Amino acid sequence: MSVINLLETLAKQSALANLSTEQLTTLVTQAELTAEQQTAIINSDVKALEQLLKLEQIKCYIYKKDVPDEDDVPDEEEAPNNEEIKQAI
Amino acid sequence: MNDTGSTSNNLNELTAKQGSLVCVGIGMLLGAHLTPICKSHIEDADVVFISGNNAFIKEWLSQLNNNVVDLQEYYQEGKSRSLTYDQMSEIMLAAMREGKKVVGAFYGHPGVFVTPAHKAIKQATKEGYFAKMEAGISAEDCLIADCGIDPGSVGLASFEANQFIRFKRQVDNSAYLVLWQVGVVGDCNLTRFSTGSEYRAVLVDVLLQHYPQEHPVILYQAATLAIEKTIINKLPLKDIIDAEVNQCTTLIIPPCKRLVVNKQVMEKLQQLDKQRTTPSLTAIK
Ligand SMILES: C[S@@+](CC[C@H](N)C(=O)[O-])C[C@H]1O[C@@H](n2cnc3c(N)ncnc32)[C@H](O)[C@@H]1O
Repeated sequence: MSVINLLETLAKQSALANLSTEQLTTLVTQAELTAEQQTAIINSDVKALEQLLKLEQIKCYIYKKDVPDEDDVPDEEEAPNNEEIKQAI
Repeated sequence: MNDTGSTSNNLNELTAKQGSLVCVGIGMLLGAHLTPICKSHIEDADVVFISGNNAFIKEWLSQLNNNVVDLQEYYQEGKSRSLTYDQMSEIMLAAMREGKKVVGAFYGHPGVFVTPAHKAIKQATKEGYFAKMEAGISAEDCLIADCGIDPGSVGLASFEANQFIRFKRQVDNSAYLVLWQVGVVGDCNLTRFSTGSEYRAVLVDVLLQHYPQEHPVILYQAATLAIEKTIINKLPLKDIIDAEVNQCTTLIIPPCKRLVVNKQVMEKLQQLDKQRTTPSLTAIK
């Protein structure tokens, strides 16, 4: 089993949700990973695991502009004024 | 089954041009959150453009589809993210216009704080292509579960942190307030990957207009791998200035005021109740 498949298996099976370190160690040892990979997983050392697999780092997690696009904003005329809101109540 | 609905869907399929765009969510936790329909779209696509939340995502999704393109390459510190988002949406549209089945796979929910997904779907639909969004499990879904918050208890409002301080907003401090992208708060040029404590101090200044400085808040970061721990850092509002915050941190501010009864509305409702004719016992039987 590859590192990715092990991470997937650990995440999707309820029986594996709350493993003790001993249980995790047993599972990891059975997964045919290198000794370094096993140690990184058991120690939850994500950075080391990324380096061992030579994975590209995520540069940016941000996908939203702070200013809305024109068509996201209602026309001012469409917005009810305070008087109209009061009358509605 | 609704006949009209299925007929219009069929019509859509007949009239849509070749090429399609579906933006799917892959959820927050690798392996645990991918829904069957999102997985199926990824497997069936000609090309999958991805935006993951950890370095393992690309390899994981490459097991489902062998044509995975990472959108990360468009990011560059110093370059406007606005341009990056345009490029991301444009590359997905370009592949779709070539007649390909295109999938944009975004971490979390593809429609939650994701400019390029919304933009590309809007444009694809405008051009007459089949375009759709499939929901995913977002950071907000995880924080609701992990922090035991029910948005229905007193309400919950979400804002992009920089928008929240740049514009005058009406803050309801009797509801939960969730601020996203606090790690880049104050970056008005959209060119930085992080801003520092001096920028968070401005955010705290704005929040102090509505909350006491000792008000307990939460800096939240959901685990994205099974071997990671979720971070729920509870601290006084004033302390977020010097706290550890990164691009993935979400700020949760619980309410500091009780709900105030709207007497006018209550009176109206009571009058309506009085006007209702009480059913007689014989009618009920
Ligand atoms: C561009 S938004 C993307 C949100 C994503 N589409 C979703 O559905 O959750 C980025 C912001 O989402 C929040 N976020 C991303 N990853 C997170 C995590 N692991 N835990 C908590 N919040 C997260 C942070 O507020 C971050 O600044």
